[in-house]
Amino acid sequence: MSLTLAALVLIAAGFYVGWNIGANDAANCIGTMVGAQIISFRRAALLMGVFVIIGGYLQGHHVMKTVGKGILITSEGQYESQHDPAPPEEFKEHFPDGRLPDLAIFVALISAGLFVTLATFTRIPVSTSQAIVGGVAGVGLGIVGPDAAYFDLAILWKILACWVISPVLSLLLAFGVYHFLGTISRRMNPLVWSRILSVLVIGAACYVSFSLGANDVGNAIGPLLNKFPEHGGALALLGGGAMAVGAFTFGRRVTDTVGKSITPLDLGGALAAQGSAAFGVHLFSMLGIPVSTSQAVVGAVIGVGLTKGLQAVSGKKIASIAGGWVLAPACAAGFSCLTYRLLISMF
Amino acid sequence: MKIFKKENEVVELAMEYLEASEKCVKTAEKAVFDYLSGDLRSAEELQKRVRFLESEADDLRRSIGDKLYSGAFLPLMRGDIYSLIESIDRVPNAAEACSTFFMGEKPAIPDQFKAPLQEITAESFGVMKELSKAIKGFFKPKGKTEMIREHAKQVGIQESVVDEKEWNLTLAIFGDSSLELGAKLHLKKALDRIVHISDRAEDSAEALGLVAVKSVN
Repeated sequence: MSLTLAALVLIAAGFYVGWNIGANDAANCIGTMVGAQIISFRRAALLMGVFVIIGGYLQGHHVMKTVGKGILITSEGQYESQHDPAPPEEFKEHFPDGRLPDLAIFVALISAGLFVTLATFTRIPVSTSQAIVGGVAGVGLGIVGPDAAYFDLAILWKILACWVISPVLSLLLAFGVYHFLGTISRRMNPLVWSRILSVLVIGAACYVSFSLGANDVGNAIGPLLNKFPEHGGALALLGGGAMAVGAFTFGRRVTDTVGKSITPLDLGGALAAQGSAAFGVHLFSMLGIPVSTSQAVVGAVIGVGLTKGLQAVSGKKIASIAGGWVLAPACAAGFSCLTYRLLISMF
Repeated sequence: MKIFKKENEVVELAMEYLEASEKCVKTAEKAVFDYLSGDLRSAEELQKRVRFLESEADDLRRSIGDKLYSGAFLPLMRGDIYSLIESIDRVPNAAEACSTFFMGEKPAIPDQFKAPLQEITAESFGVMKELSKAIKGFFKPKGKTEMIREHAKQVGIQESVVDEKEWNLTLAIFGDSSLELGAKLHLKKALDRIVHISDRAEDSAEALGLVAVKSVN
């Protein structure tokens, strides 16, 4: 594959989004085991990197396809299968190659990436998955305007519904798993149980990393699938690699923060939260739905908290999830739409 | 399993430590008992053995600390385990202090108080037996959390029995008009030294109960 400058820029943009995800979501994967000092940050980040790449390579294609080709209708065949009439005349003007234009891919990626970076620096919890879905929908608006016919509304509604279902599912799972762990632990020796827990926490961290790779590789480089439709495997490796680099280079601070705030839950609680969130995210990855790992983890933490009563649940955390559902995709969509329009008018 | 080598070494050391502590408490009990029976010579011999055993237990406690902080168990648990060992250590310490008090200060024991003091000695030092069961339950893989807490609870019950006997004996000492105030105070001090063992054992059992619950939650 000969790479043009435009292709290199797009790959760099995809790498940037992947790096962002890795840096932000390292905490969800390895925060607990680093916080509990089960293994060092370096080893944990290495483990995370390996499993993110495996998850992305083996199962990243489901979400990649949804983000890359499922939200916007960019080919005539796709349009005809969705709507009775043939595509309008301007369809070819919008999507001359039957895919997202390079500038649109670039804007969608950079908008989501910059938005998440900005949110990270201002400590606003946002989801990269939601930002990238917003970013892609935003450039779509920038290209075609508010014309619902160019959007696969069934997929968009499915994605929106899953954003609500994902944390709720993790919450319910974590609630059940934590109860189950409590029942087993009472029948076991405390020291043996703590050894089992430490091994299980490492396993859960690997599973979250795998699920993160399976779900978020699609977010990081899904739009690139428009440019390189034949190289899904290589793109998945690129996305997984970018996320691993992100975890190594910028994941420590967030990991320390989350590790110290989650571990007071206790190891069993952290295990229930991570395992449940990983299962939820993995499930949606298999369905090709981009969901937020952070929100799944927060939902699961709430589930663990609920086992100790309603008063143990922070209203702030629930508000942050609910806020994220609206804020992240809306802001990213607005940002990418305006940026695309601005760039088009300039060049 | 090789991956838990350090943990297994800590458990082995803890079992050795517990054995040394039990021996120390048992020997101190015998020393006090012999003193109260008037066999001063045997009591002095046993007192020397108590010192040796207490020092052996201290060495083992330090080895446990070294092994723990060389990487055994989760860091979250290390502090709890070492604090637990330190709290157990106060029991043989109290036993040694008690036998040292009898050998050093040689309090005069009027005949009417010998039997009650022997009885309370057996009760107070005997609490160590229940505490040992609870601690073994914590360190041995077959020990379940509920069983550990049950033994720890039993320590508390036995300590309450000792407390009640101590109170009755205190009333008897200070109500005895044949004794001078100095003798009464000395007897009370001896009594305090004896019941100190069950007090420390109860503290340790409470610490153990908390660590056990914390470890499984």
